[in-house]
Amino acid sequence: MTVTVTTILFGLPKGRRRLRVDLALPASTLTVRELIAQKVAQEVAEVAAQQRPGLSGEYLDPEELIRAPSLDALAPGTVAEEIGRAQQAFAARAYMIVIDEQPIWDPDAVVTLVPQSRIEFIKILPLVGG
Amino acid sequence: MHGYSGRILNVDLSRQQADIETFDEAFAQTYLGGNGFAIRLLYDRLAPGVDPLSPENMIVLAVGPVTDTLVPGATRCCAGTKSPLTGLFFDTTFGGMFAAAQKRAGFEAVVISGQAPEPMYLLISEDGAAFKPAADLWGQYTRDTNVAIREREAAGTEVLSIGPAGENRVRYACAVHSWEKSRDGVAGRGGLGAVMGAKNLKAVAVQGQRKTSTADPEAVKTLLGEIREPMKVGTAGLKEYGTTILVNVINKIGGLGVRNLQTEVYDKADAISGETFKEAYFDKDTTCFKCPVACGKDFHVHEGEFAGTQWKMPEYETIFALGSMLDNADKGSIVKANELCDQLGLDTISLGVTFAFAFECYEKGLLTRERCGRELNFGDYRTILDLIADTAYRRGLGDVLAEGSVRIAAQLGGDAAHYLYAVKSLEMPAHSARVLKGMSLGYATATRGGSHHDTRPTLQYGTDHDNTTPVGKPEFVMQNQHFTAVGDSLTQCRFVSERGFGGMLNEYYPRMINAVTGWNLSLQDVERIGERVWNLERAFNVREGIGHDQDVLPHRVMYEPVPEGMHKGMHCPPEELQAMLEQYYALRGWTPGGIPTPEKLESLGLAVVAGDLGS
Repeated sequence: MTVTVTTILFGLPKGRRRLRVDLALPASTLTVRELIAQKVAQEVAEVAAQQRPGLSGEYLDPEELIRAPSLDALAPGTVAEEIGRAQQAFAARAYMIVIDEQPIWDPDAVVTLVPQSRIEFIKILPLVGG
Repeated sequence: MHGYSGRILNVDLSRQQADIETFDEAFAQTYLGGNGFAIRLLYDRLAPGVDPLSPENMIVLAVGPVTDTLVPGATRCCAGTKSPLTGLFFDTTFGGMFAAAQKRAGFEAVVISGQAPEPMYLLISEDGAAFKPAADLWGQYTRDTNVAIREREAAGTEVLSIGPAGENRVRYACAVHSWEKSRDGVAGRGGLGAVMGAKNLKAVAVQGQRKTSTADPEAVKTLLGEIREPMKVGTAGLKEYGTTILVNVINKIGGLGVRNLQTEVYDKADAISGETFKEAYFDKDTTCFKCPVACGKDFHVHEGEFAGTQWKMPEYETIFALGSMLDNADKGSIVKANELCDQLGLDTISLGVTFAFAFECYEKGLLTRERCGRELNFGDYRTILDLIADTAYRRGLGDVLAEGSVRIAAQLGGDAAHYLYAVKSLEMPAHSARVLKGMSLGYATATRGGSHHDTRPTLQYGTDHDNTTPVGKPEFVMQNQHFTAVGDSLTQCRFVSERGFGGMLNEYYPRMINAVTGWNLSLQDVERIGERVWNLERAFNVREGIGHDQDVLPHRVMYEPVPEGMHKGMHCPPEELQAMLEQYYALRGWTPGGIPTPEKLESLGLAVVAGDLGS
């Protein structure tokens, strides 16, 4: 089954950034941890195959994202390294996952997805104002 | 005394006399400046029950030790008074160049009392105050007034003035400082403009040449080297878009008030987002004095109904109040409305939220066409623009709107109060009291009322902060209130301090203060200053009748869950608020009724206050 995952980064110097990836999943029911791994693995593979310019970036450090001349210039490590970073960042609540408007924070939560599921990975960079 | 001139200027408008008094280092170490000076002076000098619009009310304009030093973001001037909107102590700060000019005049505080027999403006210089006629300026817009006074006085004079709204005593009238070289500053909230208007005080102008000495400039430079990078990273989006960058993100998390908070997801948010505004109207960056961030932007509307409008960027709060809350997605009209509010001297937050309340009352049949003299429909920006002017001049329905939403609700009776979005009569800003639990308690306990500058939302938007649980919020709110009290006493810009020095008090703060003053304050000492200022503000308000019963949230926040979006179902029911309040009072060492205990006051060096409260 294929689902569309949207990554949204808020607070970048260039404003909001939205990136989509069509994700081929082995099963419609999986854990959030598995969903993260699937997304990262596919993105890294696509970058390596030059099918996409760069990672979506939700699990990268704010400093890394803000100082990079271009997000597409951030070269990924191995699949295992990137999955590890993404899992660690999720555990530290460095980004959030929202499925059909429901925020999910537990990596072991089991989700059942359908092709129409609205899946969002959201990163909020340090904001100030108001 | 490094960091200070050690002088307070007392001005009596009724007698047109001024005198200079001095303060010592002990006073400075106890209250720092700005907010701390304002509350101490007003607590001592204002008798309880004084009518905020009477000659007996006072205004304190105060700056801090780091003002006009190398410390970045020390650009704000604090204006304290008794608010005609809330009837309580109120402090509001504004940026630009005024604070530095006041410091150069050599007065950490200017205390203004009485009522001028006819319109005038004050000129404050190193020698004291001069009383200048302003009959020809009465009725003029704020920017015209500021320009006119600058032209009359010596180069380097900076001005804070009111517009027609302040003259007409609109309860949420503001005062505006137009810095010729860059960013304007608005002392927006709480009705300072009405207090000035009631005193026949059109403007305050400041000028001077004094320099502020710094005890250890090298220590300041070292500190600045350490905070430069976090400040750069933390304000990157702010630098590019200003506060408008918040529109899309806060809407995404489902916390952007729409149609008087009937929902918190705006389907037209993209049309009024920071990204959209910048692409359409950006003209240039503007900045307060010596600020490296430059969060201000000037806009130029090139096309459409409002083509030709050139004004400063509406801040996020203004886009909320004049945009989503009124279901107005016409971005050109928001720039125009912002210009009108600044020129007429109106707080955009209280005005927009009062309008939203009235529009919903109209929708629900509590206000009729006959009573209003027109229809009040959400999204009708022409009505919004008309009503802004009507409010400033108190014409027709505008005379009612000028009183603020809580007084209107009292007049209407029935269910009208259910549609209020205000705490302690102050209309609330754009950081959801339902979605951010820290703001629920923060608003309920704020000494200003519905303000986002007593408890800050900034850290609560981080995904690493659990905004959905009340657990830990009493501690967070109390500590954050001490942070804001210290920040407003230093009169530092919140944006620079939160992202450069940190959003809670930490070792950077005593290092900053000590480097400038030569003192040896510890972090604990600085925290105690914040706690002292907070308790004294609370004591002022307790004298005015505030207690646990007023630490409450709007009906909608307590009883109507958010209807859609990522935080669907969230609200702050009364029992949850009560539980947080009980913990908060206990942490503060207050009685269950929310009154500071004698023991707490004594521990903060405020023993004399205890007797006033009867606690």
